[in-house]
Amino acid sequence: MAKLSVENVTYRYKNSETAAVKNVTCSFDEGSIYAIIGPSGSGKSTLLSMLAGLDTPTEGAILFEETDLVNMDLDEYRREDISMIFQAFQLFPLLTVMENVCYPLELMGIETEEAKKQAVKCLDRVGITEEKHKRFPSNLSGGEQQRVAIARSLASGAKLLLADEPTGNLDVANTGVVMDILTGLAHKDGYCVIVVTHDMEVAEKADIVFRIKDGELTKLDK
Amino acid sequence: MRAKLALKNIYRSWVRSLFIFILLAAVTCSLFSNVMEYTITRRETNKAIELYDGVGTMMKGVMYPSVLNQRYGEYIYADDRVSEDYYPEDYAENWETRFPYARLDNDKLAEIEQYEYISYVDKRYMTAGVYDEYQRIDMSRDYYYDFTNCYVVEGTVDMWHEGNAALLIKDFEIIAGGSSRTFERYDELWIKCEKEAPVYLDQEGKEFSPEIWTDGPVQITEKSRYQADFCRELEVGGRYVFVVRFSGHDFISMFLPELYLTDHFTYGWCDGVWSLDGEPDDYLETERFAPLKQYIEVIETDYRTFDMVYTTNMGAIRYFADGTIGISDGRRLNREDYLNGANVCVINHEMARVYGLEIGDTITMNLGNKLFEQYEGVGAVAVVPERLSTSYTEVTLEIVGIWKDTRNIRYKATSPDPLWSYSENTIFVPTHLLNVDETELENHTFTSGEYSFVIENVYDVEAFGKKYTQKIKDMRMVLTLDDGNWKEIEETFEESKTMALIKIGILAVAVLAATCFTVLLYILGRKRDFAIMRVLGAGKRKAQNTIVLPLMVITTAAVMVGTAAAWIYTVNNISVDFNISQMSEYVTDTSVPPWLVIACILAEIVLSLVIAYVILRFIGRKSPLALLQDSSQKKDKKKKKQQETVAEPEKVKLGEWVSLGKPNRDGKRRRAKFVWRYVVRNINRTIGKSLMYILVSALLLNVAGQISILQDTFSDAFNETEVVSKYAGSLNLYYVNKLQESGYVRDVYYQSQKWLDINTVPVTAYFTNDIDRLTGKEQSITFLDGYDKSVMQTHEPIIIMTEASMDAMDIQLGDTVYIMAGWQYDNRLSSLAWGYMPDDGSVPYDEAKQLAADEAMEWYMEKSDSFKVIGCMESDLAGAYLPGTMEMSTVHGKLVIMQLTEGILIDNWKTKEYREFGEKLADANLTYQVAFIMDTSKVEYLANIIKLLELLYPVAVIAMLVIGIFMTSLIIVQTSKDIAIMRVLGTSKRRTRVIIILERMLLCFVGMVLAAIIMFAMRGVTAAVAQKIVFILTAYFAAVIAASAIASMAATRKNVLELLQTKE
Repeated sequence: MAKLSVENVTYRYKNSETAAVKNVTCSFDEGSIYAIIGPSGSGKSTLLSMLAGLDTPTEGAILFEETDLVNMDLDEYRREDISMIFQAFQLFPLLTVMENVCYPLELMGIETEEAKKQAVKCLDRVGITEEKHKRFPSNLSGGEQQRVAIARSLASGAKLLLADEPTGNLDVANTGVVMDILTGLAHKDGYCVIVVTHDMEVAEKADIVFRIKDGELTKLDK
Repeated sequence: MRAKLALKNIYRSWVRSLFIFILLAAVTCSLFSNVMEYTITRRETNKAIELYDGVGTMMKGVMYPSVLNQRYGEYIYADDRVSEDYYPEDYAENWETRFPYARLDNDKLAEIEQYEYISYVDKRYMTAGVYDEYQRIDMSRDYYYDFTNCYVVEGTVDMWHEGNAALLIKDFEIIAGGSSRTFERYDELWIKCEKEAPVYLDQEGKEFSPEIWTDGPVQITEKSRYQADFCRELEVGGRYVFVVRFSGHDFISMFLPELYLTDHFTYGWCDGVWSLDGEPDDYLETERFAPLKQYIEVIETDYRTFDMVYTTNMGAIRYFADGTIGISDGRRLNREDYLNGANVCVINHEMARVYGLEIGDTITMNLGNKLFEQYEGVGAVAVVPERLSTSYTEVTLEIVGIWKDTRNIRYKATSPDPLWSYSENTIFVPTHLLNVDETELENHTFTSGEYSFVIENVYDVEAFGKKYTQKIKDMRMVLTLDDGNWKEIEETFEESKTMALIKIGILAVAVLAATCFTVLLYILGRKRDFAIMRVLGAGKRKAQNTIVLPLMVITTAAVMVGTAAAWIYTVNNISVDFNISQMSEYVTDTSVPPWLVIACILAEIVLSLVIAYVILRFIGRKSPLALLQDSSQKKDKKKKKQQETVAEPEKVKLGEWVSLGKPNRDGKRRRAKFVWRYVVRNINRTIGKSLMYILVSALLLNVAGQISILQDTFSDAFNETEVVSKYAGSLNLYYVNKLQESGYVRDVYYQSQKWLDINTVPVTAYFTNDIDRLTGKEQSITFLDGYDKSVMQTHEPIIIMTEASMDAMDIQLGDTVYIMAGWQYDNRLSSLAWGYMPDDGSVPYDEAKQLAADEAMEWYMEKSDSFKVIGCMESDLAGAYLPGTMEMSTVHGKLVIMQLTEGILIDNWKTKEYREFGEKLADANLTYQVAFIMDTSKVEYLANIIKLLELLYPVAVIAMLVIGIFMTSLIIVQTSKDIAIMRVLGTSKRRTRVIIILERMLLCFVGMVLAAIIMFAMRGVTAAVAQKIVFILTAYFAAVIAASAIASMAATRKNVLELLQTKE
């Protein structure tokens, strides 16, 4: 059973006849890392938005574990079934590292102490030492911020990780670290990791690579 | 970026520009209006206090109520020639100490002049001032002042009327005299002879006749020669010259003027009746008629005589000092006029009106060399030859002021006051113009109204009183010190000064915070532009200037608008806080000093400039690239160091790859706790911004709240201000009733004194609805069962009589008495008696009266009105009090008229309607002239302010709401990215909105509490203040919630990924 299936999905923006995403069909399984590559304006973000439940397809369906997202509570879907990381990390600037990671847990209604325990594990997992737990994101390097963002995405326990240009703001070394984490999550922990990227080197680390151009998705032979 | 281009940013980001403009204008207006108010109040209060002088006056004796309540103005009798004769023996014994018009001792005055603290003494003199073109203007108006209404009439006696005790004169010619009232259109005249002494009841109820009495303007003594016996003997058809006086108040016939034969002033030097039998045509040139010729000269001079009062400073006259008498136009005479020898004068407003005189006009006066006593109603008229000036000095005087007495002249006549003796004919001039022989000046003794001293330093008034009151009392004089109430004003000012400083302090902090907030907001918004300019090679200074320039343009415009608004607001509101504005002549200068306006504008601009450069300097320390990469991040050196210590990538040690799985959840949802924690944490982490929000909210609420409270305060003051309307003169009782029924006024009060025949006996009766007020004290009255004082508010046929009158007339409570206008029975009896006297003289007059008694009594019972005696007032004096009935609106041809009628306006907004009503009522009173007086200046002033506040209030409220909504929305929009992160992490839209709204609600609430505290501190914790601010607070709170809800809805609807994909 595919973790996430995209079936004949087309998306048109309001007041626009041109489809940003055209009849896309694909599926994403656990234990693999996927890369979606494509030039600017090709429809990557639109597709990602639909995958994250932030937008709904004009046509077709997106199925999470065989359930159409249309039939799901999308807030709950984003809270418990998927997680996302971004090029600009998107950490709450006013929350400490620990608080950022605890946020999704507390949002789920987990006791603070319990959430903290889970957060410590997540942070440890991405190599953020305890001394940095009380720092604010602005006091961390880009690589560290991205790892905190990954830790936050791990906290909820969701096995589907959507990454939007996760290494776009990182240098080569940090890119390697982040990709190692994502690869590890997919291969060792059975996560389904979907990475939208421009970076061919990142794409090369993916198990399966899709290319999107003018809204049309094509699976590339690796 | 070129300056021109930079300025374009103002309208390209017009929303931000507008927000900054409104915010800065509002805070500027709020602070500067208070600063201006404080500055003006301080300046004006200091100025006003400097204007205050302590004025001391002395009286020889105190005025007893019995003196004040006499029917006639007793000061007329203060003439030495008659006064001692007039008063009862026991009164005359203590004449010097008890009579308030008695002269002050010159030696004692000289001693007082030496007392410490006294700056100077003002001794006022009066001489005649003769002007050929003008006549005295009070002639015929009031018989206490119509001493100039003298005539010399030549005519033929047509008949003697016994009942009226008058001579009918035909074929007459006016030889001398000639006021505005002329008799030339009449064919005949009545000349009344002096009446016989009236009969009064003494304290024991026994009848007595006074040694001296009056009849109209004529004062009669036992020595009088011109009573009925004399006139009866005049030859019918004989030609005579009569010295007569005119009274416009009493008429034998509605069609004939009534004249009185002679008066006490002519006694001893000019006869009242001169027979022309056998005299030549030019009889006035004969030696016999020399006194009459002299009298004619006196009359002719008196007609054109004004009362010139010489003073060194009008402010030293007590009633001018305390504002009882005021200057309606121009200014009063001051010490400089006297010291500089200025030829100036201050005339009465009535004189100005009658002769069309204005400030700046000149009048030529011939100043006489004889002194007159100011307290006498006669004024500066000669009356007798020895008073006529022997030489005159012509001076041309410039009118610099017009004075007006706040009291009615009739009040003056009925309540004589030794300190108040000025009439429409009084003209004030500086003392240097006095041209009187030194010897006469040295011998002149002063009365209370003519002498006062001035303590220029008002702070010394209290000390003077403590030190010298007893000493002056020991001299058998009563000292009265008046400081114009300056001390209370100073205390009020000190209190308001403290409050104003606290207010200014709080507002200054709020303004500083708001300015910082505004400038910070602006610069953070332009941070990227700054960085780009730097990257493109612009120097730091140039980049800073480019950013600051548009800000300064907006700031300058906002500050100027805010200052102008503050200016207008202050100028229109400031004077209400001044009790000193009530000070006579004091004109409150509400102008704002230009330096203050400039200082306010510059201060705010400089403040904004400094804050802007400080922030830019701080931003400028960061590299432009860092700013471009993350313009919202703050990194100080310490943080930089921490960043430098961030572990190198190769050193990153990743944790064990152990599956984390789903976190354990105990199943409980703790949404509320989560939301609360997030909100509190967020407020805490953005404490600066939160505080700014709170302060701005408090400031906005305070501005609108203050206006709202002011509105209420002024409304209260407006409603509580008592507008008293007076009908001075002779308002008919019928119209008094109309006034009571009009619904315009409350607490109507009326009073009048009239002689009434009660069971045929003439008694002094008082028409009033408030005996206590009339008599000046709470009277002890025994009422008939079922009656109390409230019965006086009705117009029932009831009467309250004094114990003395009831005993004397053997009247009991509950009896019915029969009332008619005074002396009617007497006159009727006399008239009927005449019919019982045959021409042969066989029946003497007294016998004839007895014969006519039954007929007279029958007539009396038929014509009189019956009244029930329902009260007995404890008093040794004869008298009766009654509210009057509509049926007796005319008592046998004589109207029941009120000397004074007052009412307090019920609705102060109806002054215009009521004035129309009042004037119509006064006009409708055809028989006598009635002056409707109502000073509405205070309420009009308050009404103008209320109208202005009504205009300002919605503007302030709208501005408050707009700024509040704008500020709230802007802050929420700024947190869009956080909202997006929350959304992407699965926070529902609803919960996200709750978080946003709750945060704004909390901050707004704190701001509201702060605003409420400030407002309560300024205005006091009262229900009225609370009630007023509740609306403002509620409206603001609702607006903030609405703005939060709308902005959060908008923010949560945005495309989350679009927001998150950008770096900024």
